[in-house]
Amino acid sequence: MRKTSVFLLIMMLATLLLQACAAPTPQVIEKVVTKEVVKEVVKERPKLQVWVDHSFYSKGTDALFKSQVFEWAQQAGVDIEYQQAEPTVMTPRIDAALESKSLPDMLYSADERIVKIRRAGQLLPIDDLVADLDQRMGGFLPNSLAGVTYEGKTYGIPQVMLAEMLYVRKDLLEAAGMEFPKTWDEAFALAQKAHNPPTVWGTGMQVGPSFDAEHQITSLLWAYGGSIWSEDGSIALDSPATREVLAMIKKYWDAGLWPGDAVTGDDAYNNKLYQTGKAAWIYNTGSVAKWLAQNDKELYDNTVFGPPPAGPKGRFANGITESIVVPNTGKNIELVKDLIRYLNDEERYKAIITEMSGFRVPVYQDLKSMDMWKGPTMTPLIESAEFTYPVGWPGPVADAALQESSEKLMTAMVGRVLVDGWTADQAIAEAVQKLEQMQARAAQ
Amino acid sequence: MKAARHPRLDRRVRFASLLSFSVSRRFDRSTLGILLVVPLLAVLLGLVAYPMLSAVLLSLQAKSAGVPGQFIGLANYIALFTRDSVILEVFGNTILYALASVILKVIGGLAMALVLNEALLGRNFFRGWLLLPWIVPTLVSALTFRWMFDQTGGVINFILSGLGLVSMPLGWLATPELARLSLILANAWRGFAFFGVTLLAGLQSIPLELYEAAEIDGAGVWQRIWRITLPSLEPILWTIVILSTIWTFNDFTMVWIMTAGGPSYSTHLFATYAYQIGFVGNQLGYAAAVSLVGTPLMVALIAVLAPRMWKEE
Repeated sequence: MRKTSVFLLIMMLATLLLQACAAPTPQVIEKVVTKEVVKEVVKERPKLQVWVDHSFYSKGTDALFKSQVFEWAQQAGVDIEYQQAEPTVMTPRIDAALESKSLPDMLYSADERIVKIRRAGQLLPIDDLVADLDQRMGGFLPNSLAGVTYEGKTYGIPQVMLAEMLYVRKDLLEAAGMEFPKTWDEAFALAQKAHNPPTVWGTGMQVGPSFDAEHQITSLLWAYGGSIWSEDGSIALDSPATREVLAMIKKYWDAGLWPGDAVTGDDAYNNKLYQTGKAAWIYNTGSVAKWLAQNDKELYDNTVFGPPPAGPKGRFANGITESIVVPNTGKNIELVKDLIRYLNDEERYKAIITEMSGFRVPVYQDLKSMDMWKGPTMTPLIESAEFTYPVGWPGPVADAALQESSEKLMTAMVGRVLVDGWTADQAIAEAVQKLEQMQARAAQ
Repeated sequence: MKAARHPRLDRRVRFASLLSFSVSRRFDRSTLGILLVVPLLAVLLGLVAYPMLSAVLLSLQAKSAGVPGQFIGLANYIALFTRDSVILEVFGNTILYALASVILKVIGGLAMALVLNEALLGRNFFRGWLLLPWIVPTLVSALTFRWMFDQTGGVINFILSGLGLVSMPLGWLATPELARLSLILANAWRGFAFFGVTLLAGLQSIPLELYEAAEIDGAGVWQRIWRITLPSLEPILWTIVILSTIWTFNDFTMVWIMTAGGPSYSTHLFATYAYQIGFVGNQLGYAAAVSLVGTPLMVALIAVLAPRMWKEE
């Protein structure tokens, strides 16, 4: 009994000691003046949760963005809980937060992932903020707003866009006696002339189950006048243009211009192929150029960079816009808007763009004239921002469009033709059926 | 002289005696047994039955993340069997992958066990080293195999072309047939060590006298394996065959990393297809239906094979 009493006493003392050592809750003391008495009211500092569901592609940019957020927080007297990780980590976290209606106060994400949150009805339309920021730096690129606008309301502030360019081996271009390919026909003509396996394959264009392939095939469709969706969001895939694109890919596939395992290539496949000198050309973001500059100067110098090829209907790129959105479940909406204004200050925004060094391009029109975009690797990237469009274009970024892109339906359609030997009609029919199912589910 | 009695000890002993007497009166053995099983039941209910029931309920709904589910009855299953052009291929892929991998693991594991059961120099070293495929995380082995099978820079093609066996590198992941073969080989490599170690334990429990008697009677090596080793290993073999079949049936990492279900849909299993639909496509209800639709097949397989685990000699 005595031992038990001593034990309990020690536990009580330890608990009291731990409480005493705990950091006190930050407090703001306000003086509230009433008619008669000056009262001291103790208020807690507001707290914001800020999530970034991807890396900014360099540690420097990650650190810079985070520091900007915390700088604002210090000035505003706000506590920040900051989380940043890759989509593979953050997506399940966001899904769980969606289910429990506990999304952060501010989320920086890609338009393809934002659609999911909008559909759950947990995004705040912020047209007022968009209108305000549209006055800065020449205003937003119109296509940058397409990914966050739905039924006339804007649900996010675009920040940067993914841009892609064509990488072509200079030596193979010269050996083929060709100019830099401006059209897809010229690009594949170069591929045929340069094709010399196993030393080098004609092309590393993605056709495997990857987001790169989905974007590139969709871009090709647009360039030839085809589309998955029409302007009103109805299915437009079954068209002569789609058949033309499938026939073209099939023709060059049968000529062996790709390594056979391109049909299982992941998002790093074409990077690896070009970086190991095995592809005459690829179509990718500035990440490959950055890698080459740091790791293979010889191949970097032996590469010509240019805009993506054009088709009969023009030059198009299916890209991603990354935006800041405000979940409507937060308690400090005005503070979040203030933070967003702070981050979109010209000096701070330019610092981020500079630090990104080409991984993404700015959405503000005036920033196209920044000196950093003058150069063989940068000019094609900034130019491609003009013709980059989100999933669902020319229709809205609807849930079915997101599902289609996420499930890589265009890549699957091409796979049916290349791998399973289906006709274009069969492959298109299956894709249309799946699109109809997606629309039906989205409507439920 | 009587030993001094400690009054406190006396009280404690009397208390314990009283308690045990009360326990034996109130709780007979069967009740005690039930009480001891309750924690396990709680775990099974909470971690097995509840998720299973949740999955069934989810499969009866149209559900996306963050949006309340809408009950639609069997609509997901009807869509699966009437409008999904991939599900039959998934059925076939899964059965082929599971059966072929397990057969290879049995052969490889048995060979490993038979060799390691012999008195070899460095036997203990090899017993540990050959467990490596089982110990290495699946993600690591999947990435490694993906590199090895790479058409343009993989080591397998490098060796084959170096030996002059091929003039052009093979696309190990390029066609449905080769991609399935590559996955089966990778999975078999990963799992044969488990079979080997388990069968080795079984081998060591077989009395040596049986082999000696057989040898005296003139039985050859293969006869001894066929007549003594395999029948003795049968219960344990069926146990690990069932376990491995279940695990391989539900495999995800190896396939997702190496092929993501491609080329086209030719290597999709239930797990990878459900993942693509549910977590990539955000169709959680439909994905639950995909993941459950293979369950009757697995149950039937276990029902057929399980009695062999307890087959009497």
